[in-house]
Amino acid sequence: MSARAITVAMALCFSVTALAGFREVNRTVVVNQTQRYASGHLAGARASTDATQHIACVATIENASTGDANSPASISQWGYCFAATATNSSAFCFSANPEMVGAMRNLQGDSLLEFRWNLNGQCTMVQLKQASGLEPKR
Amino acid sequence: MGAKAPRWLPLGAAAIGGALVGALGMNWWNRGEPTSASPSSYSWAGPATGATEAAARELEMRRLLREELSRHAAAPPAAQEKESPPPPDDAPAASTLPPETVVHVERAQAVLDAAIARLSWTREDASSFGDAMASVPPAVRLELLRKFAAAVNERGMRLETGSPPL
Repeated sequence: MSARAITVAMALCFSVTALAGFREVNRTVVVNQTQRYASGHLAGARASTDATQHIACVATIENASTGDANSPASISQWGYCFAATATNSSAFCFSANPEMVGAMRNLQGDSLLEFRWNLNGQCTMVQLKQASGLEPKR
Repeated sequence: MGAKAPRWLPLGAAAIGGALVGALGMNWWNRGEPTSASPSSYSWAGPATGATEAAARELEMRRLLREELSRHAAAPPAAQEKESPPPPDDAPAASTLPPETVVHVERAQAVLDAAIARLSWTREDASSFGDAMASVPPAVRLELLRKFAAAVNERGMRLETGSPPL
């Protein structure tokens, strides 16, 4: 292969890298029970090579009224987040706070999710990150 | 030339000196003994044991259940009574928490207790627990969720559902 061909090949490689943009490649779900903290990228956890990593939130809104025309609507909502690492270390938090449940509801397939909880297991933070570097769920 | 010192001066000085020596001595005597403000007292109190916490939560669960039962059985507040028309004679008695709801609560607790005992949460557990959770009052549901969270976070119960655990 001539020196010119090698130069062209290298230039192509660099140009492809430059066009790709930053890509997050961390696919590890983290659970820290001491700090009461968990985080993970939904798509990354799904694409990980093990079969145990998992992270998600579930939000439920329901009307508990009897359906009788005279009974007032009784809307309640609650939700939870959970995470499981490659070594099957798990974390779980829940909330009935409407704003917290609303955050859970906004979770997307390409979100990076972080959550914290207190000693009662109630979520004290639910943070969703959407970024160009986060891969979509495949 | 100088003023004559009062006769009580030596006695006063001796008294002050004695008090200082006494205070220093007490301080030395109490050295190392934890007080309520010292960090070392934390170890004296000691963390609650798992069994104690479990018992306390069980009591809390029972208290919540009692409250829910009494709340459902209670007559409506006086203010509402004034606004609402009196019930017809053939109206049912004050509503109570249906027995099937109590059954749901007990079933959910039994599923959770069994899972905690083996530190494993399976799809079958999730299904049974979820069915029961859908039929309990919100306050009881939150208490069940708190118990579930404690099982996962504090006791290391493994989530083996392969899907959302509830």
